[in-house]
Amino acid sequence: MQKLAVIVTSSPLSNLTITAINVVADALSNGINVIGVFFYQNGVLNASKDIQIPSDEFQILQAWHNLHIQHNVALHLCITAGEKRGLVCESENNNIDDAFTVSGLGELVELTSKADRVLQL
Amino acid sequence: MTKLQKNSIAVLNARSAFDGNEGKEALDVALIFGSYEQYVSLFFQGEGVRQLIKGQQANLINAKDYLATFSALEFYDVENIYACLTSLEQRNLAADFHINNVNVLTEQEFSDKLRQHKTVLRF
Repeated sequence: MQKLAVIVTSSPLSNLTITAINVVADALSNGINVIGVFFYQNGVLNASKDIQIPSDEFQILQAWHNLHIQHNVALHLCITAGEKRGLVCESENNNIDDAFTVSGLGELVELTSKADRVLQL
Repeated sequence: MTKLQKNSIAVLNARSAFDGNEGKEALDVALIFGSYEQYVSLFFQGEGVRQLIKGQQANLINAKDYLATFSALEFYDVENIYACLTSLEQRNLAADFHINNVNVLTEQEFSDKLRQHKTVLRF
C-alpha cells in the first residue's frame, strides 16, 4: 500500500487547509495509507481550541478531529512552532485539541523518510 | 534524466530573511534533517536569495539574527546549498554571501537539481 505523509503549513484561515483535509479524505477512500499529518508554521493553529469559526463557515478543527476519530489518522504538531503561536500543552491551560499529538521536528523526519510521497499544503 | 537521490529532501526558500518567520523555520527543518543524517539540500529562489546576502543587521529591526545559525549547517554536514542566478540578477544582487559553500545555478540547473530530490518542502 502506498504511504502518504501530509505537511500542513497553512493557517486554518487559508483555503489550502481545506484542500489538505480533502486530500487526506480522498487518499483514505482510495486505499492510500496516510501515515500521518504534520503541522508546522502557521499550520499548527489548526489544533487550537481557542479559534472560533462562525457556525455558518467550514469547521476546520472538527474536520481534522473527525479524520482522526474515524480513520485513526495521526495528527502531529510541532510544539515549538505551536508555543510561538499561543498553543499551550500544560494540563491546566491546555488549548490543543485532543486529536493532535504534541511532537517536534523529529517526527517530520520520521514521516518523510517512511512515506512514498510527501505533500505540503 | 536526472538521478533521484533516495530519501532526499530539498528545503526551498522563497521568502526574504526577515519577512516573517519562514526563513528561520526552514533553517530549523534543514538542521533537524541534517542532525538525523538525512540527505538534505537548501535551495534559495526568488526573494529567498536575500537570506544569503552578507552584512544584514537584524538588530536594527529588533529581529533575532538567525542568519548566524547558517554556520551550523556545516556541522550537520548540510553541504548542498544552491542559489538561483536569475533571482540574484533580477534583484541586482552580487553573489556576496555570508556563508561560503553556495552554488549559484542557472534556472535550468536549479530546476534539474531540485528534481533530484524525492521531497521538496517550500517555505
